[in-house]
Amino acid sequence: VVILGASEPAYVEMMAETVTAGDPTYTGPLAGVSLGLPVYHITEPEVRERADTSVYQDQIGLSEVAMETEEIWKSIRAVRERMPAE
Amino acid sequence: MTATTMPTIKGISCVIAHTPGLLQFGSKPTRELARDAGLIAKIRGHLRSFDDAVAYGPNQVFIGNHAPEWLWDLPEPWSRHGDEGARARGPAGRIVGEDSFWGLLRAADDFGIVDIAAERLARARELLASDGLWSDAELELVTKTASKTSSAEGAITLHAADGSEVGHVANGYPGDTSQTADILLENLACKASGALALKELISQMRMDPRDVEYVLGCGEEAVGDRYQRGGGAISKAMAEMAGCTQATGSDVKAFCCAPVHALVMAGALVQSGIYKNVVVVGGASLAKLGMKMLGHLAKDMPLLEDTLAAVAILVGPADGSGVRLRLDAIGRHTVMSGGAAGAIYAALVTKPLDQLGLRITDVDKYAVELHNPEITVPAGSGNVPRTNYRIIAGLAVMRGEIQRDQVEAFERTHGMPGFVPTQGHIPAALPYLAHALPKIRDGSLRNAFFIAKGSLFLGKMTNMSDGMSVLVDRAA
Repeated sequence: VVILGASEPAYVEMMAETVTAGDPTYTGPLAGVSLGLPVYHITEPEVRERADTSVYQDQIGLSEVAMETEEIWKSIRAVRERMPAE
Repeated sequence: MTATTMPTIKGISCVIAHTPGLLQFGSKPTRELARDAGLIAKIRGHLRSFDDAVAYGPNQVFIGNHAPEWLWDLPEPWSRHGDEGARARGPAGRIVGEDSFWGLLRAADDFGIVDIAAERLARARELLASDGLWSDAELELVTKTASKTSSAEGAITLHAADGSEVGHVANGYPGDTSQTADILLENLACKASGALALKELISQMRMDPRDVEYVLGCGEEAVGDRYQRGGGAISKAMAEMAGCTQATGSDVKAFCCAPVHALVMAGALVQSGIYKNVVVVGGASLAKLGMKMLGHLAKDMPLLEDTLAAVAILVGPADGSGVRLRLDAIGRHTVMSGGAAGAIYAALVTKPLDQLGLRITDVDKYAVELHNPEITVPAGSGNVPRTNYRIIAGLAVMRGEIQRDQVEAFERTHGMPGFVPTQGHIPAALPYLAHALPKIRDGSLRNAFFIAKGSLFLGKMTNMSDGMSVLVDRAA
């Protein structure tokens, strides 16, 4: 599983696509390489519920307040739906 | 130390050299061109004219002709909505073209490294003379003939934006990998742009250049030779070129946050009484030209990273002019601080503010890494200042100073849009001084907080990042 932490929804989508279908920008080593890995964002409930609450709060809490999490989740979920993990 | 006797930030200059012909020598374009030499045609097809670079809204903000907030009302893309009233000169600085910069490069070179066609140098001299910043003796250095003492082996060819040949840059000592032609070009571009910023500052302040006692360089260039790569300094060379004959200096290295480190050191040197006039100067970063080029080409945008930018800041003793450098409100990212956003911002924002009993919302404006988002967003790097403002606002939420639904508005009330060319250390907060100083003097701004972060880990000596911050306010 790949866990992303970037704060930019468009960047999250690009990275998610890179580790599933392959690099959509065709600039890196994963161009044309379909890894088909499950991919989540660190702030998604599926991930944060598995983390120790105090550690999560300490390490991610402030960043999460600053992120547009709804947009990020929408982007990454769309990638998962388009390209289900193998 | 009492707040009433703290040093004054007397002035700042912000200059841009529009150098589309040099874009190909940026690190990213160099690497891409090594893979595909044919890319040069595509690059040249996406370069901007000097007039377009002058009219570009963020550049007008950088030299002080508009407040940063003006960009909020400018339709996007900014690159297609040039400022019709744009001028190459502003209250904070100026924009010079490539035709001038060839002359500055030549004047910066004392070793016959840069060889430029005589007619180009004559034209450059003419343009630089009309700027009114340079003396006749200094202009003489523009048209001096290159002595060609450097080895011609490994020389690189310079081209103007239109592809026409301009001249050559030779390497330094033969076989010295610390003085290859591309490294010397980077360093000379840093020296020339830094000297231009120094000259501009001296002119703005109407001061005698001989009154500058110490120059702290804060650029990112490594000057030296094979025995001390990066061990040299560039600040004194800039001082010499700008006529600061009574100055010496040294360089402060801390990646992008070096300017704030240097500003605090400058304040300390003044506060201690060692020097009266200390200048912090950041020369431009040639390596960062075209850094996000691929994203811009993919979106068929003009290549906006075609400008070298430099700043110079004068710090002096308390003089009642109104702007204080608060040496009692410095934020430091220490070794202990760690890498989580919460810890970084606690060290850089809340700790220094707590020392003064200020709340986050008591600061009128936060200047963060002010990268122009029109350059970074298309390349997938996001809107850097916006992310910073959301994190500071998040801190304010966690401290119960604002509500969660006020996070979005914080950028407008306490921040600003990014407007600075992506020149590494140059966007690191301080260019906002050009706007903050007059407002603090006239009382329309109470204070401003300057925060810079540096990616220490890029040098592979540590996994840590770095950061430094300082408050500037109105003297009581």
